[in-house]
Amino acid sequence: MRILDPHIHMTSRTTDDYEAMYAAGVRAVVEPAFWLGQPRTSAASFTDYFDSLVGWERFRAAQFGIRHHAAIALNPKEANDPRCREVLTEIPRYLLKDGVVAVGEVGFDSMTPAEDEAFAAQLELARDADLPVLVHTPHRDKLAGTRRTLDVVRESGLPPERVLVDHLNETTVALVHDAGMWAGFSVYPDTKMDERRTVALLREYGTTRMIVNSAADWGRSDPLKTARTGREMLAAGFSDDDVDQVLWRNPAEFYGQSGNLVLDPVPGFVAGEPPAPGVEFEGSSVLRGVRA
Amino acid sequence: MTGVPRSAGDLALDPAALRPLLRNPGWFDTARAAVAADPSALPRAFALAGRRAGRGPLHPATDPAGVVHGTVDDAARAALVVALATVDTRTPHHDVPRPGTHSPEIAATELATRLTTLYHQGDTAERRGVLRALDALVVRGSAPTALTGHAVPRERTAPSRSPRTPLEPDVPGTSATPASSLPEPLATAGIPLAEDALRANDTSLVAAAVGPFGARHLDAHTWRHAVLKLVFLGVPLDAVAHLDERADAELARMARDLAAERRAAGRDIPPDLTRLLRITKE
Ligand SMILES: [Zn+2]
Repeated sequence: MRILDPHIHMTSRTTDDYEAMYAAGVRAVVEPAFWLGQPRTSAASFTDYFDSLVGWERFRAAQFGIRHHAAIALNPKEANDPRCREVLTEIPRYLLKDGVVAVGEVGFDSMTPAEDEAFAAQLELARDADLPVLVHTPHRDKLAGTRRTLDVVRESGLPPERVLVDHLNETTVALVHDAGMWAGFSVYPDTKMDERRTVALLREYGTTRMIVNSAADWGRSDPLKTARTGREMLAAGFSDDDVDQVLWRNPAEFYGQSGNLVLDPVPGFVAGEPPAPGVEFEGSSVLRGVRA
Repeated sequence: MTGVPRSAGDLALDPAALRPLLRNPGWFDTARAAVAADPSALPRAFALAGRRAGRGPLHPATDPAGVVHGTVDDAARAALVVALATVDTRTPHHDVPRPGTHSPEIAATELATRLTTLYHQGDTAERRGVLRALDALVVRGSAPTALTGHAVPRERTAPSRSPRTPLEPDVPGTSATPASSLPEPLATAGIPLAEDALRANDTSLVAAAVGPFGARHLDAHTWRHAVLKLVFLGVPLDAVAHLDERADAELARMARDLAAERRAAGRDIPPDLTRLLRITKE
């Protein structure tokens, strides 16, 4: 089973997670920019975060054989703070960076006018940068929020196939599917979706334009939920090819629209062995353990 | 120099040798011309270099991750900076700027500002590109198209230096140290960038900071710690330019202490530490 987790916040996860993810078949991830649990108070705090998404976190993932990509955006929650909104002018230069495969997560949290404005502005940035968009749907008032989300996307004029609408459930999947956008399901230990309900929706709506992620972050979540959903699909009678489509080919096709996705194996990585910076050196002591 | 693999900074000075290694040599030609014509084209070309030029190692057989000698995009980015530097500082006479043309010192200041911004706004690969570009400019120093200006003295007080460490001056340049120094504005701008890279834990950034620029311009304390850090990170010391010439008694002491610490812990002495002990013996 090869897996591209299209939505996971690895900055909040440990190296044990990276090891377990590799063992479960995860070979690539996309980490969207989101809020850190603690509110930021300045644009500089965002640029440090963005730098780490395209820098340190990518390096860390590669140490474990996993290709790391990023989606960059001002998240809806912090779009409400004028001190944070200043980062919008910095975002275009990040959208040019290697491995930035989308604008995201954008969307609504509390559906305020400030969120509306930041959402629309960033859809425009995506169009200018020729990137797809990862859209977060709100936890509260989800159905109304999803309807409003689709309206804003339609007004932007972005083609529906460039948009992945995430955190969907039984009540919101049809809206997104019928609009021709990609439908994302965040499989969580006890909120959002679970494996069984996700598989039921795959049976009902098919495997086209359907995407499964763990959305694992600093909250109670599980970076192996993608693999568990794949096993649940097989148990429910889906073929290996169906699983490959949902867990690998679909997210690869969606983010591949950026022209910036790298999916070949990390060079020099051998599972279970510490990564070697160069073959001239034997018995290397490595970053996994050592901080010089 | 047979047998010594050419690093990204070296290849940046030899576009003809670099071109066949690139995924899209046509992009490389166009980008260099664009940057030479308009310096504001540099940031976009810098960001795109990995996608257009490729990201593979320059020496796959001995350096599969491109950490030690750099990658294809490192060399391409450094070549873009060289293309800009060549335009910025071209004057018919080294010492007598013509009236009405800007002086080479001012050109070096402009280039220094651009490199600083590129580094701070760059991702890891772009930051390596800046460091490798500084290497290229140092290596090019003795060539006829050299940047001119006042050389910065190598002696520099490191604020973090422990008071018990004697404040000895750096090893003076010798005939065995071919690298010449950069004009003062470029050296002054480049040193904090190299120091920033040396604080990173990304092996490729640390390795890119100990090339010819680091060998010529980092103060002794910083440079010795950089060498030791590579040993800790498991990066081959082949990454260090002019290692044999710059290694001194203090580095020898640090290497001996590290070896003693490893032995006391019952751990192996890595081959590069053995190499360091051997170099610093004389
Ligand atoms: Zn998220």
